[in-house]
Amino acid sequence: MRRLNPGETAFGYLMLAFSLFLLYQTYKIAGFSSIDSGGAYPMFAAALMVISSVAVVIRNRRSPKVEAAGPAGEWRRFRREVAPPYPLIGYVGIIVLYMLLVLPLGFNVSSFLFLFGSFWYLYRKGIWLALGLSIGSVVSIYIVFRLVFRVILPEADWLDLSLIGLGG
Amino acid sequence: MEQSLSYFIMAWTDPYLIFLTAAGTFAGIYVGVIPGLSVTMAVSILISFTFTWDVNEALAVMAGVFLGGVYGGSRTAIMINIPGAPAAIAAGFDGYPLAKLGLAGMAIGVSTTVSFFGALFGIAILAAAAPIVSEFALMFAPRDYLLLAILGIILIGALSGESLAKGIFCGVLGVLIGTVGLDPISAQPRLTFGSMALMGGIHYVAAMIGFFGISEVLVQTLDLKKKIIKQKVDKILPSWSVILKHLPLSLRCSAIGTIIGALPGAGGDIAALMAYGHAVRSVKKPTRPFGEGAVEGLVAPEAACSSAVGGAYIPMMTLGIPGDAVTAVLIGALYIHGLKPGPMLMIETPHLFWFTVGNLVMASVFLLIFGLTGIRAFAKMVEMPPALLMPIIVILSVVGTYSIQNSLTDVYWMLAFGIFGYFLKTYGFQIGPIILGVILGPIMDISFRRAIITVRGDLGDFFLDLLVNPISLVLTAATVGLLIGQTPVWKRYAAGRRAKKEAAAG
Amino acid sequence: MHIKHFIGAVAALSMTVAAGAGMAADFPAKDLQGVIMWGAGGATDVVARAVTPLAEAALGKSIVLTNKTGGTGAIATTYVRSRPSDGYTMLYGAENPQMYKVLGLAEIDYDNYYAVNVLARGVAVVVVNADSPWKTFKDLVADVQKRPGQVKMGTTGVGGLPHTVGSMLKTVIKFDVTAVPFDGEGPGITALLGNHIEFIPVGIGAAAEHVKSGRVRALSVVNGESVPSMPGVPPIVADFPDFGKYLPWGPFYGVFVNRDTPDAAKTALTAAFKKAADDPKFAEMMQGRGNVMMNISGAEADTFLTKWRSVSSWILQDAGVTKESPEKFGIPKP
Repeated sequence: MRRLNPGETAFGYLMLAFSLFLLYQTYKIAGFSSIDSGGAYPMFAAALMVISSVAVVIRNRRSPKVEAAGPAGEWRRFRREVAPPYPLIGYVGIIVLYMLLVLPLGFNVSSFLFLFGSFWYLYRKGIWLALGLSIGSVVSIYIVFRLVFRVILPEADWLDLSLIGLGG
Repeated sequence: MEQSLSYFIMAWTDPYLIFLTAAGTFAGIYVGVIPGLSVTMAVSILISFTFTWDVNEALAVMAGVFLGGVYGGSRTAIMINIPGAPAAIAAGFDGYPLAKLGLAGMAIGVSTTVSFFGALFGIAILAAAAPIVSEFALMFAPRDYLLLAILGIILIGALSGESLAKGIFCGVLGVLIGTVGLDPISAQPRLTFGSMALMGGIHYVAAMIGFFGISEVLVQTLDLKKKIIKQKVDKILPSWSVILKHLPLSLRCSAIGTIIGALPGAGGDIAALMAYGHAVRSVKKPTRPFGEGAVEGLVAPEAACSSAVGGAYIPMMTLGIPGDAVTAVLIGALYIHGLKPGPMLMIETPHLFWFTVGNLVMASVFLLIFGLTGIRAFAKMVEMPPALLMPIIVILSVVGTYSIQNSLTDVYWMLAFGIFGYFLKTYGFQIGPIILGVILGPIMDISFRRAIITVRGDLGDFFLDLLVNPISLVLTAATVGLLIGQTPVWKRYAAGRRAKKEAAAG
Repeated sequence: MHIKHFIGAVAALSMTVAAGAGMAADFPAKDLQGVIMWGAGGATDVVARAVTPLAEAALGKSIVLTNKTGGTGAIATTYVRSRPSDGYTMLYGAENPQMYKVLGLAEIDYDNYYAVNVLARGVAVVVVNADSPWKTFKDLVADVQKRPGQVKMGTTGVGGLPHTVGSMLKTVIKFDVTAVPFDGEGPGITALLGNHIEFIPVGIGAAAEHVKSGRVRALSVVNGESVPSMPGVPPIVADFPDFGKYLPWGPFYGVFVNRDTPDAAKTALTAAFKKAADDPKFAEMMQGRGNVMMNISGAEADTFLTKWRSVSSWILQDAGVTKESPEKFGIPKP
């Protein structure tokens, strides 16, 4: 058996809680009314999920532990190996920020900012290269998706490009 | 017969039709490559685009896009573990490990050759036995779809990685993701938490892109400076001996693919997963263990999903019933062009059938040509620094997810699945079973309930039907056999017997 | 850059800010978006993709079509309602929104929309497999009444056409069947061909070719009179005159914009779609699929939509599948 990764024990319990929550939610759909009701099948699935997460928790308890000094040590290792601030947490932050900006700024502007930011943050080869690459990518995505495949990407209402002949 | 032949070669003698098929196939490959650009979407757009065209021209370009798109999805699955289309999910199970070994060029070469072979197989069945196969497909009752889905879901056992419990956990997680939204039977909301946006459910491609794409991006982001694997691109064309070695498996998987493609309501994605399962169970000595770069694990799904194209045309041409989502759109296109798809189509417009067959054959040839010529450039893509590749994948995942049904909610789910998927991967859970659950879960749900309703809730009748009907009996036997084969007791027994045999032989 | 050009662009931009009346005068000034409430390849999708190129020609701008599925179209209906009422976002819809209120799927229906054009309505037909012993609709009904709950009818889920026709029959005669739901009319017909169900009421479009090939037999059209696309098939009122009170009834396909859209935009769109629906090629395709062309808009369409809603809402109410009573929304009995 492999040694547990930092945070694995906690994750196991979290998944058990999550599956119990889903079991309750699926029970609420139709209760135990009949075998072909809309709720019976999801409830069966959720029950199976509870059983398998119990098995995961038991297995975790039997596995060799991380040789760390209590929860504090494990937390330190979690921060170092599983979710380090740079680059992982920072990058997830950038992605989340990007998603939040898609609606107010529109797809093109927010994507440009996201690409520019991440090239600069991850690649670290100078600002001009990042600028050029991100403009190039946004333009090609716009051509493929908006112009060829006619996907209406979210656009900011205040930035109506269509009237000056760019979008539409 | 002579007349059929003249219709068959119609596509081959008109330079403009040849050009359209080639252009369609080429475009299709790239539609397949980009996650979120789906063949269904491309063909829908082509309907308006080709509105004023002649019907043959429209069909030629659509056939090319269809075949090319189904094939193209495996590219990115092999290169960066992100399937470009649902049909390519299974291709990544062993394709991506091959790329990690520096064999991406070889993997794409094999995938292209096998896809060409599978496509031809499916088309041959379409040409030779379409009426028989479509009658066979009609015989599948709801309970048989249930059994098929169960046969597919058993594959979780082979995809679980370090622990079966984790595999089952992921499988049912996928099943539950698939139940979100309005229940198709009772129209009552399930797991929507009162949200309007969740009523339409979570599209399975959003789950696919999140769990594969974003979680892979996060894994790679952790290790930006890792050594990039040099890809060998000198030997791309597989040798005859390799092709011959895998011929029996390709044949079996093409047969699976054609049948599943011909079943209304099941397409290339399910065909590929079933074929992968078949390979895992039937190939005793793979080139490498399955999941670590077995060539067989790539051959099987690729043969199946390409042959499913020909299969999907079978009920469409003979009965006007779609074999999958793309043929559903094609049927719409036929209507718009003034044709009447249905059982009379082959009688009233016989040329259409042979024209389509000839056209599909030509598209397969173009698939081989374009597939084999573009490999070098593609293999170089993996050698791009991850710091440049990853943000581009994020953008493509966002725009791709959004374009499935123009929904930002899907995009948020995609991101959530990606982050969740990262932790699952870190803690030894596998992504494959989740996707298996998302794809097969809804079929199991609705087929089970349909089957129960059909026997008016009488479980006795339900089990009796499983044994009386020939198709159901075969599927039941296969399911029960596989389930027993997966139990630890049987595995130990089989291992013991094998050891004894080997001891006796050696 | 030419100064003149630049000023033009600025003027155009400031006009967007001003929006409203000024813009509608030369409607449409940019490309439009059409949101289809059903998926690619479905009946609504086919109708939308067939009529759009013709309307585009009349409007002189393109209409970008997108499928936005889910909640039997409730997602698309709610989405278009939430867009600016400028006429640039249209809903390509079927009959479903008229049942959202009673089914508890959404707070809105076509009352919140202006009907640019209700293009056509479909007619339902009751079909059985050719092997079936039932030769007439009376045979089928007699057998259903002899073996209550035993005969298997295909449906497409609650509120779908087969389910509603079945519910209508229940109010007229004793009609107790087992309803087996499928994903749509196509899969329902497929199940009928495979003998997994015994009969199904479907739109003529889904059944016509199968009837013509002789594998499926049409017993009765759910209409006041026979229809040309189903020659020799008696209307349901011939057997059960009481059914007449629900007719004409059937699925319909239309193009809608928010009701508070400026009149200039409504007029331009109505004219364009009227012209498109008049196109013989489109009409031929629609009739070939067993539809009755309607090509109505505005008040005329409202009358049709309102009657349709009261018939269907009360049928669902009587069948006991509603979440809310039609009374709550002031929907009168038909």
